[in-house]
Parts: sequence; C-alpha cells; structure tokens
Amino acid sequence: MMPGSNKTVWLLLFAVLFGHAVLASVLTSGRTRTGLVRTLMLDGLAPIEKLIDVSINGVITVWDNYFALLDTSRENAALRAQNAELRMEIARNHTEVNEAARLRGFFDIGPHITGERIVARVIASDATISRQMITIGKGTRHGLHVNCAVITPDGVVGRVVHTGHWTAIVQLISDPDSAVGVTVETSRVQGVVRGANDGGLRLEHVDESLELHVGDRLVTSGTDLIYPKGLPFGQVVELGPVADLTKTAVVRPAADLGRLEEVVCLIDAAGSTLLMDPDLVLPGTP
Amino acid sequence: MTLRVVRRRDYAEMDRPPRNFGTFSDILKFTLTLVGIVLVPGILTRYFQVFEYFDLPLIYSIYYGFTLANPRGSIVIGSVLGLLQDAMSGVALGTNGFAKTLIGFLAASAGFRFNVDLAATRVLALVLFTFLDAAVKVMLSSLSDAGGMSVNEVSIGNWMLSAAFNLLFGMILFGYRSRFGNAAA
Repeated sequence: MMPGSNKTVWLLLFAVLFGHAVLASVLTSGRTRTGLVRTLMLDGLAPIEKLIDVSINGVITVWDNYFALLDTSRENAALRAQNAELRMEIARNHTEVNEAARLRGFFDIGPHITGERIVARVIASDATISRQMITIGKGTRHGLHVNCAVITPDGVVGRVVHTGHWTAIVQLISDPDSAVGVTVETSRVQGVVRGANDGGLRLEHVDESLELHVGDRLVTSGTDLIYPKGLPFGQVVELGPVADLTKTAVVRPAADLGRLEEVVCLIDAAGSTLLMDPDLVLPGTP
Repeated sequence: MTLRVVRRRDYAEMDRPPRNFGTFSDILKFTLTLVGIVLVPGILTRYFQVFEYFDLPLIYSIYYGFTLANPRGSIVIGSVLGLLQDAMSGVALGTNGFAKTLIGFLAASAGFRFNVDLAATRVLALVLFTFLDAAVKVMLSSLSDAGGMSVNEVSIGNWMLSAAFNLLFGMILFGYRSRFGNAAA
C-alpha cells in the first residue's frame, strides 16, 4: 500500500504527464499556427536567448579573430619568406635571361667570321694608366692561344697576350702597346689605332690628303692579321693635329672597355692562325 | 554487484528540500540555469554541429534526479526543462515535457534505490535514459501524429551517437559535482 506522501508524488507525476500529453495532442491539431503557450514561452525566452547568443558569438568572434590572427601572422611570415625566395629566384632568372641574351649576341657577331668562338668571363682587371689588361676565365685547355682576337657584340676588346691552362690575359685595345689596323667604314680610309697613355685611343697613320671627319665609324681592316676584317671598332670623336704628313684623331671604342663581363675569343679566325707564333712581329706592334 | 539496492525508503522520506532556495538570488540563479540549459545547446549548434547530439535538458533531468534526491522537484524540473525544450525546438509542446518528466522522476527514484555515485550506475543510467527519452518521443509523436518524428524516421545510429555524447557530458558533469559540490551549487 502506497503511503500518503507516495500517493502525492504519483499524483503529481500523473498530473504532469497527463498535462503534457494533453498539450501534445491538443496543440498538435493547430500546428499550422503558433499557439499562445508557445508564443508566450518564445517571447519570454527571446531576450535571454539573444543575450546568450551575443555572448557566445562575442566569445567565438574574439577567439576566431585572435587565434585566426595568430595563424595569419604565422602564415604571413611564411608567405613573406616564400615571396623573398621567389623574388630571389626571379632575380636569378632575370640575370640568367640577360646573360643568355648577351651570349646569344656573342654568337651573332660577324656571321662571316670563320673559326671557333669561345665565350669567357672576365675574372680580373688590371686597367691602370700604364697597362690596360684583363684576365679571362678560359685558357689553353679551352683552345685559346696568344693573339686570339677578343671581342664583344659591340666591338673589338683586345687580344690574348698570355695564356695559362685555365685563364688568359687580354691586352685591351686601349693599352699603350696595342695597335689595331682599322678602316673608316664609309670612306675606306685606313689607319692604325693605338692605345694612348691616358687610357684612350688614337687614330694614326692616316694620310693628310684623305678626308676624316668626326663621327666616322671605324671597323677592323684585317691588315694586322689578328682581328678579322669588318669588326666594329669605334668612332672618331675628335680630330687631332697633323704631324709628319699624317692626320690623327681621338677614337672612342665601340665596346665598353670599362664594363666588360663576358667576351668572345675568336679561335682560328681569318688571319689569326698566322700569328700563333708569339715571336712573329705584328704590323703596328712596337 | 554494481547496481545493488542501497536502501529502500518511501517517497515521504525522499521528499526533503534539496537545498536552501530561500533567497531570491538562488531562485533566479536556478531559473537562469534551467533556461540556459535549454537555450545554450541550440545556439551552440549554430556554430558547432556536434552539439545537436547533446541533449542537455535530458542530462540535467538525470543529474537533478540523482543529486537532488527529490521526486517532486525532479518532476517539476524535468517538466519545465522539457516544456522549454519543446518551445524552443519547434516540436509539439508536451513531447519533451512528458519524456523529461518521466526521466526526472525515474532518476530521482533510482537515486534512492541504487548507488548512483558509482560510475557504472551513471553510465548505464545515461545510456538507458537517452534511449528511453528517444523511445517516449517516438511513441508520443506516432500516437499524436505530431509530425515531429515518426517511427519510420527512428535512427538507432543517431540515438547511439546521442547516447555517447550525453554519456560524455554527463560523466563530466557528475565528476564535477562529485568534486566541487551539489546540484544546486
């Protein structure tokens, strides 16, 4: 037999369950519209719900922003490093592209020139007032020999005067001991360009009766048997005094001798093979 | 034996006030807790899908049933929690109210008949009550044609998932209570 108090509990339980069952069955019939009870509950709970939502949303937003920013910071650092790496790669590629273009230019030099061409990098320079020399990174092992013509796509640079197995010393055309046979491109007037003591170039041995003008372009004449005929050499920039029935002029070299990076050595080009004997005296060479 | 009967008393002995609810702040705190129990999971589900498997009102009905040791109080709490849940979830009013009332009462009864401080008892209770809650709701829906859930839509997989999550949260809650205080704290 259930005690009185037990009875109360059971009664309460059944009453509540019955109430819920009634709610479920009665209000179900009107499901298409919100009932009063539900409306009251929804309205009553709405402010609290909004408050909780704002609070949770705030926490989530702070969390997302703070920790997302931590991630973003890390990601940013990684991207910056990657960007630097890519920029370095682009710079490297750019340099390589430029170098390739420059090398392509070397092989476009004087299609009429026979013989082998060796591209060499300038590895040292000894350009002083008295001596105008550079050292290149190719030597006899690469086929170089004394008196190989050394040029760039712009013009004549000089000739090999000493060779090692792996390197060679090039006498620039601006060296005081250098002499190159040249021809004025238009008038075909011939002469010899020597290195001046001030590091410049001077055209000599031009007959007084022949015309020479500022701006005349000079090409190699081939008479020195070192440089093939027709290579761009330089330009007359100033006419000098007449001495001993010959004209002189100041010449600006076509090649930028002060900024040489790579040069082309012409092996066995026309005429140069005759000069493989270093003891042979070159025309115009002191 | 895990589920041994620890003592058998009638409900008159069990009907004692759970705690001093004399002050207004206590009542307010308790009311807000009940409202929060119903509202928080719904809001959290918007952000974290996994919360749809948690039935916080169910867990708290069991929790209060076990810890308050007051059948009347548990009936009322279960009823209120269920009704609020119905209002907020859109199912027919009374569906969850009925289920949670029943479970609150059963939990309170179990709290006096079994040693609910044992982890095994709590695990079993959380799992069984989750299935009972689901079964009651299916039954009511099918009987009243409430449209919330039909027998054909019963998903044992979802029930099991729900039981697993309820078990997880319930055990944390009981563990917290064992360490720091009682239900009304």
